[in-house]
Amino acid sequence: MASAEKTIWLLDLCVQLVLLMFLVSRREHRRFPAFCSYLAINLLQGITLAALFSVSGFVTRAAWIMGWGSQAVVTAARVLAVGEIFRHVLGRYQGVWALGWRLLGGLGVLVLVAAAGFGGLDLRAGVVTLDLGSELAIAAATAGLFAFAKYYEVVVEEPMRTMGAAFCLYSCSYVLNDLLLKHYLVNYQNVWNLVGMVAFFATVCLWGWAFRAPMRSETPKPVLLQPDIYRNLIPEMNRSLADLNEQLSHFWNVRSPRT
Amino acid sequence: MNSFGIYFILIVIAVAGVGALLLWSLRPRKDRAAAGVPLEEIEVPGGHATYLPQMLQALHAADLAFVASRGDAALGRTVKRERRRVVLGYLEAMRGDFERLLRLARVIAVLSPEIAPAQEWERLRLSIWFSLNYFLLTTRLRIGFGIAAQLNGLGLEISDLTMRVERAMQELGERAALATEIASAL
Repeated sequence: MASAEKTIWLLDLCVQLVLLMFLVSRREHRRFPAFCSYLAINLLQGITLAALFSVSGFVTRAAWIMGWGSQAVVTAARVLAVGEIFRHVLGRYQGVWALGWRLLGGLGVLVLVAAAGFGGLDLRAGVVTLDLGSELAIAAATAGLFAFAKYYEVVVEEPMRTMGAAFCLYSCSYVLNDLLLKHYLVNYQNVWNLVGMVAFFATVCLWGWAFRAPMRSETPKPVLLQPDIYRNLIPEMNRSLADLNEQLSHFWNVRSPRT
Repeated sequence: MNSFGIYFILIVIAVAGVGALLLWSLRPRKDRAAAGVPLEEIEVPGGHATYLPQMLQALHAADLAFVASRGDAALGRTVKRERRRVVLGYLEAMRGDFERLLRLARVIAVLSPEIAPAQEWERLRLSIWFSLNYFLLTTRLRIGFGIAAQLNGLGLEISDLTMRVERAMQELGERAALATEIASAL
C-alpha cells in the first residue's frame, strides 16, 4: 500500500472508530442499531483485510475471495442501515410506510436486476457488476425515499436527512468508481482503492455532522384517522381531481386559429 | 458503439438521475405547504369551477368578431389582451383549487392506517397530467394562441360537467370541518 493510501486508510479507521464511540456514548445505538452495526462491521473488515493484505499481498486468490466476500457482508449491513433510515422517516405513518417500503424495495431490486442483467455476469467482472448494481439500488431507493417523503409532505428530520443523503452520495460515487474499475480492471485498481477511501472518509464526516446536534426526544406518533375516512373520502377526492382535470382539457377543444 | 459503451452511458445517466432526484427532493418547498400554513386556513375548493362557461365564452371567436366589427383594430387587440389575462387568472385559480384538494388528499393518506396503492397511483397520474395540461395551456395562451373559441356542441356537455364539479365541491365543502380535525391530529 502506498503511503497516501495508508494515510487515508488510517484516517478512515480513526473517524469510524470515533463516530462509533460517540454514538455509543450518546446511546444512539439503541435508536440506530443497524447503522452502528454497519460501522462496526466496516471497521472489522478494514482491519482484517489490512492484516491479510500485509501477509499475502493484494493479488492472491485468498485476498480476492476475502475482499469481495467481506464486501458482500458490508453491503448487506449497509442495506439494513439504509432500511433503518426508511423506518425512522416513514415508520410513524402506518399506511404510507406499508406502501413506501414495498415500492422503494421493489425499485431497489429492479435497479439491481437491471444493472446486473445489462452488465453481464462473467466470472471476473461479474462480482464488480453485482457490487455496482447493489450500490446503484441503494442510491436509487434512498433518493426515492426522499422524493416519496416530499410528495407526502413527511418532514425528514435530522439526523436522518443528512445520513440518508450521505448514503446516497456515497453509493453514487461508489457506482462511478466501480464502473471505471469494470472498464479498466487492473490498471485502475490502485486509483479505485484510493478514490473509494476518500469518498468513504467524506461520508463518515457527513454522518458525524448529522449527529452534531444534541439528541432530541422522539417526535410523538401522530394520531391516525379512522380507516373508513380514507376509504370514503379519497375515491371521492380523486373523482373531483379528475373533474378539474377534465375541465381543463375542455380548453383544448377550443379551436385556435391565428388571429 | 460496443455493448460496454452503452452500459457505461446507461449507468452514468442512472447516477445523474439519482443525483438530480436527491437534489430535487432535498430542496425546500416554496409553496404554502412548506411555509407552515395551517391546514385549517386552506379553503376547501369551490368557487372557480362554476366559471367555466364564462371562460369559454371569453374565448369565443364570435365575441371578438363582434367587437372588431363595431370598433377599430386597437379595441379588438385590447379586448383580446384583457380576455387572455382573465383566462390566465382563471387557470391559475383552478390550479390553486387542484393543489389544495391534492394536499388535503395527501394529508389524509399520510394519516390513514391503510391506503390503497391504486388510489394513490391515480392521484399521482392526475397531478402529473394536470401540471402538464396547465403548462401547455398557459404557454399556448401566453404566446397568443387559443383566443378564439368554437363552442359548437359543447354547451350541454359543459353544463353537465359544471354540475358534477359543483356537486363534488359541495360535498367536499361539507367536509371542511374534517380539515380542522386533521390539522389538530398533525
